[in-house]
Amino acid sequence: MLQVVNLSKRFGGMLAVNDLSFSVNGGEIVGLLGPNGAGKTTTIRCVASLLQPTSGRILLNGHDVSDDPVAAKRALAFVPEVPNPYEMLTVMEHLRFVAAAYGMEEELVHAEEILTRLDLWEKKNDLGASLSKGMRQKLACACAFIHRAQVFCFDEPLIGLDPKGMRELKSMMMERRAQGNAMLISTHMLDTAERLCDRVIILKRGQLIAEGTVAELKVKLQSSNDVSLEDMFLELTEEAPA
Amino acid sequence: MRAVSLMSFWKIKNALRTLFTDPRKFVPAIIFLVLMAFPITMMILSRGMSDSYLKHAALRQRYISQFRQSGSNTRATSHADYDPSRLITPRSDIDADTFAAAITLTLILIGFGIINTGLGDRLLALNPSDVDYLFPAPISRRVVLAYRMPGLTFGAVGIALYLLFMISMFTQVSGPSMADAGDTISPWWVNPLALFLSGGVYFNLAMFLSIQFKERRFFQKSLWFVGFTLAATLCYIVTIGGVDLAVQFLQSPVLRGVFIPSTLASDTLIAAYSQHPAGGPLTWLLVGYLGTFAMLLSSKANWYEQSIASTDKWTAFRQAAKGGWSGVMAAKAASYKYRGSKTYTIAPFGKHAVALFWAHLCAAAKKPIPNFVVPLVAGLVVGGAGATAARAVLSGLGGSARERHAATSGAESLGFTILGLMIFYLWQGFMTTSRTASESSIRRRELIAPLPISGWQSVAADMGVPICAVLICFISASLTYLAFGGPNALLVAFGFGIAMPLRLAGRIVLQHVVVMAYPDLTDKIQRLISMFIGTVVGIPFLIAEALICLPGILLHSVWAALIPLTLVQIPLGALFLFLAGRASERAIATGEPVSLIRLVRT
Repeated sequence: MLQVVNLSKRFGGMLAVNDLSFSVNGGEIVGLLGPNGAGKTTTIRCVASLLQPTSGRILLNGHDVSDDPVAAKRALAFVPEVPNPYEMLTVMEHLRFVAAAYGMEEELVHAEEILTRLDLWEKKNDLGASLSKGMRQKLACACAFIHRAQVFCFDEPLIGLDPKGMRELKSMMMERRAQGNAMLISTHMLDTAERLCDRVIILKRGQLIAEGTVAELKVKLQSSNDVSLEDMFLELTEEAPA
Repeated sequence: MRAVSLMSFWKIKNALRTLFTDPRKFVPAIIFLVLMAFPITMMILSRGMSDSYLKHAALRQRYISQFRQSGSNTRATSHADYDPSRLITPRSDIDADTFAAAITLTLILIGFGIINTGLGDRLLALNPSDVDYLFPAPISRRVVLAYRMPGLTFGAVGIALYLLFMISMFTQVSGPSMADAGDTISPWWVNPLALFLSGGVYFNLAMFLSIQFKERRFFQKSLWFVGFTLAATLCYIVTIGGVDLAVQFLQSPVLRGVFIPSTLASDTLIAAYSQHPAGGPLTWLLVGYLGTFAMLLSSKANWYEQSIASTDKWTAFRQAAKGGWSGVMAAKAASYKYRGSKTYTIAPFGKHAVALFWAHLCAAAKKPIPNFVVPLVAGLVVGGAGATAARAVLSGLGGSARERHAATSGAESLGFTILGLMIFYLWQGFMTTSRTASESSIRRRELIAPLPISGWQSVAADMGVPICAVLICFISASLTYLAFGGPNALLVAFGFGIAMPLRLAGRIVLQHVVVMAYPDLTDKIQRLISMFIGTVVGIPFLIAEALICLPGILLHSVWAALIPLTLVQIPLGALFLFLAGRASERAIATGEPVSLIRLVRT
């Protein structure tokens, strides 16, 4: 469903993503891990066609995001790291706008269920300007779930959420996985990634340094069974002493 | 398209709803309406006068031509309508070509400004919400661009209104000679439309450049180079050949061709005087506007990336602007590429307030161009221009009263007007930058409060750098005036070098007191009130100064007015510093805003 092929992204003299290739299949949650500045957000922003790849291709449901961005984005739901809702739009209007943009206004019948699960139903007539940071995050997630996207891209989706919100969001993600959707999640929460993700991709300085299930990584690193993803992550991303 | 239209409608609806539920939000709206109503009213009033003027000019033209055709004894049919006494006007006439050149030059400058904006970040800066919700949605870039266009159109309308206001004001003072006027008067909507279309073409072109090029700095620098070259060439031409040669230069086919939207708008505006119908240039402007609009919407450029960068930058500025001028300056400084690339280590100097002043001076020295070089250059320009203009006026004096009037009414009076405006803007500029320093000192209060420095010393140290900039500017202006050998050298040099900086320094300290009384920099209304109170508080001192100058005015002696005016600035400055020190100490002690009335009472 999502294919990233030889993706490179350069900002001036800095190579943020270097020849990155991976894919996310339907019914799969893939965690995109890496230290700060590894290129996770850049990769996700390229997938969401916010950034133009310097080279390489990104296919969303078979559509190239560079050649046919509108068709590609129709299959995508994207949640940014720090969502900024429209200050002068209510929560419900955000959902209506997103549903209209994706041409799926019939999906608004699920609005009450989604908003209730994310504790936003009572705030459905509140303006975006009045929402707290966590509420803004929940609103962005609600907008992502309101239309029938095949691929979900989340950039640090759990940051700022309360424990109930976190649990609900994770359960909604797992439901979508069960329905056959593909999910790419960038996160620093390694314990969550370990439990939630089917596979992980570890980036370092824009390059893929490890990919696979947690079990596969353990085999690759010849680690014992009691070693956590966090231990492996630190081992893989540790800088050699100068 | 439907989704974007819905979203825009909801935004407007909710904004209006919020506006009506919170009366405080009406204040900016009222200010905006007043600002818009003022030029429109002035235009309507001046339009009435201009129409009457043009109608009589047209009658006169017809009368003269009929008189020439029929012989001096034949009475023209329109003669009864023609009453020369009704044509008396207080304006000084300039020829139509000069008027057209002035309009063209103004429109070229506006065009430069708009294109420069396009090569910067402003046009591509959207709302961060657009980046998060609109960009990833399956909506074509063309639709998103169309969504951005009303903003550009609004910008073009604003510029058209502003220009109309300026032109209508200018034509009350000076305008083309009546003899140049033809008998065609354009409908009222022609001039606003021409200015809107001209601005619109530039906005469309600027937006096209914005979306087409990711790296625009090179183009922006090239544009500045062209602008400075053009300005230098124009100055040189005026110096060697006077205004007439400059008019010829501005009407050259190359310049007209390069800045075709400006020249077409100018042709439309002066149609009544040049005796050419406005329809032709207006039609071409319309074609140009629609053409550039189509070009913009047909572009396939992927501009989201540069838009995100511009949006991030502008969001940071907007956020910083909530914290007042000092916040904006800090955000601007942080956006410089060289930040962190240099290490500044300057040894400490002095004790107590001197050490604090030295620290401020060292901080200012890290950005020498805005803090010291610009005031120096401004001073040199004002001094040089003042001496040149004054000499030019003096050289024209002599002979009859009519000759003296002629000598002073032309370019020289314009020179003096420009000089006066420059001094006014310098004053305003220094007051604004010192306000920034005052706001910064409020932010630093927690750091400075524990230091063993008394209130007035702390204020003196805080205001030291802006006052240094004032001194650099006005002393350099004074010395330049002397060096250029301007008339009344001693008087003007004294005024520039001593009286002006002393007065400005006092006002800067007074402004500091007012800023301390309204310290919430995030509250726009409070900041507006603060600026208003700052003006009101200065009025009694202004009246006192006028009274002090009265003997000099009665004696017709500038010295007799200037010396007492200068001397009184010393106790006034000391009083302001005392009040500011007191306010600073109270603010530190209580952490509360300072009450101006209590400050004076006790």
